[in-house]
Amino acid sequence: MINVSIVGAGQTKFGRHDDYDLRELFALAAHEAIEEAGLTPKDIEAAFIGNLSADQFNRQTHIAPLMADFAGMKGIPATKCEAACASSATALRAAILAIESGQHEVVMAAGVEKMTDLPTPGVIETLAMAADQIFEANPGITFPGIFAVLAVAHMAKYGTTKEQLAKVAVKNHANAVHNPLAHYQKAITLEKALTSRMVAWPLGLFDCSPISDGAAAVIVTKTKKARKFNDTPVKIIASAQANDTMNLCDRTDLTSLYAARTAAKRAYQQAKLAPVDIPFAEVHDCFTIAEIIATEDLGFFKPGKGGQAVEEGLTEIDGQITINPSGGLKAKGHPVGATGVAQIIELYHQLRNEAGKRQVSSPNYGLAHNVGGTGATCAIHICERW
Amino acid sequence: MKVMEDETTIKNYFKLINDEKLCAAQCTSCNELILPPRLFCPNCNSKTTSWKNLSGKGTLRSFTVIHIAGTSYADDVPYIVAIVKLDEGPSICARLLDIDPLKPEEIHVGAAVTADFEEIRSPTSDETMKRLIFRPA
Repeated sequence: MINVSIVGAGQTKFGRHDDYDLRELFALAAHEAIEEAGLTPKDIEAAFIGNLSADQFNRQTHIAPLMADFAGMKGIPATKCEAACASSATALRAAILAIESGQHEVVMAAGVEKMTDLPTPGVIETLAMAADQIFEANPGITFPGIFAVLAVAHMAKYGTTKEQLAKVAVKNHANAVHNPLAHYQKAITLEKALTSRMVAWPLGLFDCSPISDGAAAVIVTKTKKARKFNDTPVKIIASAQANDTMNLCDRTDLTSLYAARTAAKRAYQQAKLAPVDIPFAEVHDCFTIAEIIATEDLGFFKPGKGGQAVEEGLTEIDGQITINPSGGLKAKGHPVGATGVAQIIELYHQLRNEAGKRQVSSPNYGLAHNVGGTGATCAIHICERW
Repeated sequence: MKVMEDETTIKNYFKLINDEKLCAAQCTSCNELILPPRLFCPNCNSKTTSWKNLSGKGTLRSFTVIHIAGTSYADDVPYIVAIVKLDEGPSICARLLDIDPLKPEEIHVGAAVTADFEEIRSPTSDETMKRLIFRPA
């Protein structure tokens, strides 16, 4: 069991930010998190910052000290964590381990990405670098293409349909209507989702998460000291991570992510919980098929039954297991390096019963599932209400 | 460090592709066929690997049709990229030609395909190079 709790959370709106620089987005989220914990930037002892590719998106490397400096945290150890789209879940894990080791007591875990500085073809090329450059990207596969390959395999093996994929998008857009920080606060119809422009067959535009800018930060500390900073902290009771082969060709199964199944097993063991104990989860729906596979890998539904589950409404806000009440990556937005911590922030608000119209009915636990790249990394955290 | 001509490096793999030969690395300890090639066997960690010629025959494990590509391939769309399971065991990712990319419903997982090679412009020089592709068998 892990003895670390969240005592502050801050997030910018996700979307296109033409008027803020990368470091300014970070500073906004960091200050909000620090203030919520009743602290000043000087109280933060270390920062772990998730970011995929400021080098490609913003022509900026060595971002951790830059981010820390502009958030008023000059001098502390500030380290960038990169695990593609799971960057900031690995940053949170590093922060947890820093506390558990006894090195630090008050640590920031954050993530930031500003993708819209590049035109779309450049973003697509940059994201494809999170696949095997030589043996996947060079033949011409794109990031949506990788998940399209998983979708085709899932459809062939289990009969999953394009309508079921589209239902994921419709559900997550409906949830995001009630999330003021979401990239898209707009409901969509099934017909609109099904007739969107093709990106990588069978995935259309509405099967894909958007290209977003944004930042997210949390302050974590030892659970026994958490009430000093916050009346209602949220406990982190599991932090697990696993990897898999980078290249899909080296995997025996294209309908499931081994790293997710492995990390989930470890997380459930740490928390002494089973999938049935989890009332809601923020899962990594970078593409609609990824949410269906996630609900199977996490043990919420049997392999091959995830599509049917979303079709039957089992994953809606008031369903058997709520999936992505925030709107998910699909509608909340996916500034890749910020996503893992943003998922944790949704857990934080839900477990404090302050998520407004998207509130899940008084949950005791929540799970966050953050996938890096094509599933070569998966980091899973389980949180418990105070 | 001098690399032996038959060492199972990525560079040597692409030299073989350029000679229109599709080869997998083969572990001389446990006989595992390794593709994409590696210096160490993922099965037994042995470094003693050699090249093994493959038949080029295989079946489609999965595929997609790319409609929006990155900067490098923006002019190629729409095109099909497939994961092919070769008859000898390992899988490889490559383009699938001679099929209409606008009729993906007519492509089936499990369909038989055969390896071939096509000449393309090298991304790093003005020279041409061969690349692995597949066609329906």
